[in-house]
Amino acid sequence: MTKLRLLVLGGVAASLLATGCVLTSAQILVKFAFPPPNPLVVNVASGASSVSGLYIDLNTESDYADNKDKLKDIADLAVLGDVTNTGTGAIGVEVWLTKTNSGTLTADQVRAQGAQLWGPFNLAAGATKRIGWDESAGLFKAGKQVLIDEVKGDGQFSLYLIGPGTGAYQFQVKDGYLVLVIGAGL
Amino acid sequence: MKRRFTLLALVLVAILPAGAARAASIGVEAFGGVSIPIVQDDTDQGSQFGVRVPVNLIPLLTVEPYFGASALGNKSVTLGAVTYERDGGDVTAFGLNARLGGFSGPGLKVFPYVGIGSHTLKREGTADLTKAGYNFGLGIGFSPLPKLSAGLRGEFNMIPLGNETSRKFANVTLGVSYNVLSLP
Repeated sequence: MTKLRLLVLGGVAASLLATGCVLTSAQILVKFAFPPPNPLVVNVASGASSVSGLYIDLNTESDYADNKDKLKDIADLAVLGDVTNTGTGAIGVEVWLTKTNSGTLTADQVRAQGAQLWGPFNLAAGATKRIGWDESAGLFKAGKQVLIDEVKGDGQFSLYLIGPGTGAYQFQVKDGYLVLVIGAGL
Repeated sequence: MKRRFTLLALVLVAILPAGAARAASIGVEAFGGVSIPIVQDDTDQGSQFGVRVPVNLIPLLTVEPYFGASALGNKSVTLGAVTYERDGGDVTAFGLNARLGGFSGPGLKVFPYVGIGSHTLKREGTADLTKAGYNFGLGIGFSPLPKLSAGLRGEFNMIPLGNETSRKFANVTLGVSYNVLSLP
């Protein structure tokens, strides 16, 4: 009986070891408030209109800085906040990402130089809607991988919130957040 | 994954005594309880239900094909003045446990067990993920009536996700099993 128990325990230990150091990992929430101004106001007349970038330095968040060297993966992420369409037509809000502190760009430059991270979040004229976490998680695009690379890299990048195409639109985002759930070794 | 199943099979073969054929018992067990995420900021405690089919072919070993489903609790996070809620997700699993000892018969039984299974994690807004997972735990059972057994189990369940991370859960379940077949 003792031999049998030892064999079972050995099997458990071997099975766990075969999975690597996964036993000591955790899913840690990192939240980053959009930089001022709050609300963020976007007013675009055409593709040549300027859009201010939101420079994100995740290193200023202790949950990220404390776990950066142990970061293995992104388990979940979301863009959150209250969006109001202050224009006269329906819009689909998109979030684009550039890998640097690229400052102010035109909407056309954002599309040329960046990667679409998220959206479109559709909103009728005059409507205000809170972006739910579940809905937000489902709106990520191919740029998600660029974000993951940046989060695993220097943690510094810029986000741009723009509307569809090259037409005129305006909207504002109140209490915007970027939320990440990082998979980290402990 | 194939390597891990092979590893478990080797362990099972190693503990099977040669020429051990004897009385066989087959049962059906329904179980339910709680599933508690371990160091996961994005999901909360939920419920778990399932069924096991204990098969006892030799005195010291029972194998249990199982199916289990967990509905994890939503996670609330307050950002500024707003509270957001994230779907906790569901986990469905089917696999095989190996536990020491038989599952039927009189008296109090304390039994360790180990298992492996295919786990599917589903969550709103996220693509489904299917991975091999492992569990081990300790159970205590008794038989209040012939053919009927009840048991309490505490187990650790780990689902490696790749990239050296995993989802881990502590599961506590109560089960009732009925011995549907006993062969001399």
